[in-house]
Amino acid sequence: MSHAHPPSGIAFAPGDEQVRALLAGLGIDVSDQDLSEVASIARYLLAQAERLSGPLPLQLEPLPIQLPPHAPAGDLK
Amino acid sequence: MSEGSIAELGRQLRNGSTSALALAEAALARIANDHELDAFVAITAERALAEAESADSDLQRGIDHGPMHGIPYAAKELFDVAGLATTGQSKLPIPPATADAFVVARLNAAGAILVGKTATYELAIEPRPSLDGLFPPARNPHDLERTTGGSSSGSAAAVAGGLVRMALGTDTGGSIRAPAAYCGIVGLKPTYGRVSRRGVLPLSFALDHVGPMGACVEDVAIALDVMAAWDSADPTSARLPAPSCQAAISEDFRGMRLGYARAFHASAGDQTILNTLDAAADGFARLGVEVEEVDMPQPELFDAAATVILQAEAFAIHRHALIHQPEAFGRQSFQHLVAGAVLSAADLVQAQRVRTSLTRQVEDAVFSRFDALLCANVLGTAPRLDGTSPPNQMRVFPFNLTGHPALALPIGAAADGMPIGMQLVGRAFDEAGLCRLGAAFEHHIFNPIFPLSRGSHDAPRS
Repeated sequence: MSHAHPPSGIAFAPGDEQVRALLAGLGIDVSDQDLSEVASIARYLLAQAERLSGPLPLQLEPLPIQLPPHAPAGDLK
Repeated sequence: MSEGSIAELGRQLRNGSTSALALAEAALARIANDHELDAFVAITAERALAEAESADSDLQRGIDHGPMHGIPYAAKELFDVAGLATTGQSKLPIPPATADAFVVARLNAAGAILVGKTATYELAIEPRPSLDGLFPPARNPHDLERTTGGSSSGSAAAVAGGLVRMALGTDTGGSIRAPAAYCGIVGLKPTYGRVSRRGVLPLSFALDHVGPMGACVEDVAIALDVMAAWDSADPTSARLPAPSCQAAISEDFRGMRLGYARAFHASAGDQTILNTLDAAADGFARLGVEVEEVDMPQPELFDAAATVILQAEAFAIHRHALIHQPEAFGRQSFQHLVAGAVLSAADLVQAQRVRTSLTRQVEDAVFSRFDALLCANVLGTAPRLDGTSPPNQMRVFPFNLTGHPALALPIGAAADGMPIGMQLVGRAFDEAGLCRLGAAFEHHIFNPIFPLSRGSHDAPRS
């Protein structure tokens, strides 16, 4: 992966300790050394998700892990 | 440096002026004697020499496996090679692979000679090379204090440094195309589904692509012709004909329609790059290609959807190891992977819905009217290894998201003397059309001297 971080966004922006607690709930320990960077990336990801949260037309959608829409299933295995 | 294009080496092999064994020995010697690039993390000398002897024996008996027969190449450290652990440059305890990746097996069956595995950014997710991985980071042959870009870093260094003519890369968020631009070489991200990912360490099931990186368009065309095949064991593999990309290179390109997404990058990057992209579009027009500006959706939307999908899937793939073996990850990898845990199921579903919508918009805006799209690749030059360079904007994620094929080509040099590049993006499964246009650009507009001497390459003729 090779892309730059744009400015962080404005959506749900948890504090560092909130991120640590969330990850601890999943069994992942984040050290003090890593916490600031992990929380910064997490806030960036949530801001990116927020960009996508607007309404979209309701229509049939492909599966979450799937092929791009230009590749009709009939042409594929 | 390597002896010539893949096609030229093939001619020499067939007229007896060289042998596969001589080519393999020469490539292995170049790799062994290189102490600057750190392009390779494993050398497969014993295998290479045995394969080369077999390739020579076949040719002597009149058995010709095609254009890759006897040609040395390398594979990124994400590809399975039987007997070697696919570490992804991590310290995770990974047993040796029991079989070659599908594309390595395809190339082997076509007579190609694997000489080694090339460096990557750890698990292909690090945003910049780290110094705490299993191997040192590859260096840019144009300036050893700069990165190659990632994550197909060693493959780009190996080709640009003249160690091999072709190396395999993967591209989940520009990891073939950005290193190609930073190192002044050609990289081809095929259509999603065109090349099997079996035996390749995944980062994101929805966005991962496998493709060739080479010194010229014909080199990657020849490689892709071997790599593109239906694989019944990869559920995303397309069962479609794959027209020859090598044959397409000599077909007439005049009259093809090219959309130029100028507004997609016009507010980003330095002026030299923007001017050079304009010059590239003008150059195509002078050759008889019909060029017209075209609007694309906002790049930020593509990047947001791709980022959410990539990070959610990457966390899912590595979750167990992140919990139970966190010490096996480098710090950057750990930090980026665990952060993906904050995304929700709804975030992923919404990102997929946006992906569908954006892909349809690109189909309608671009490929209903044009044969291909010209747009920026990375909007800057290779960053410094010491991490002091500001981040560059990129236009790579959109085509991981939509799955369209994208060919990265060098187009000149920036003010700092480092290579810069562009992308040609094609209709789904039209890699041959991209190679036709790309070769026309290379033959008539800008053909870098390979391997590029540092700072010696010229801007496109205008």
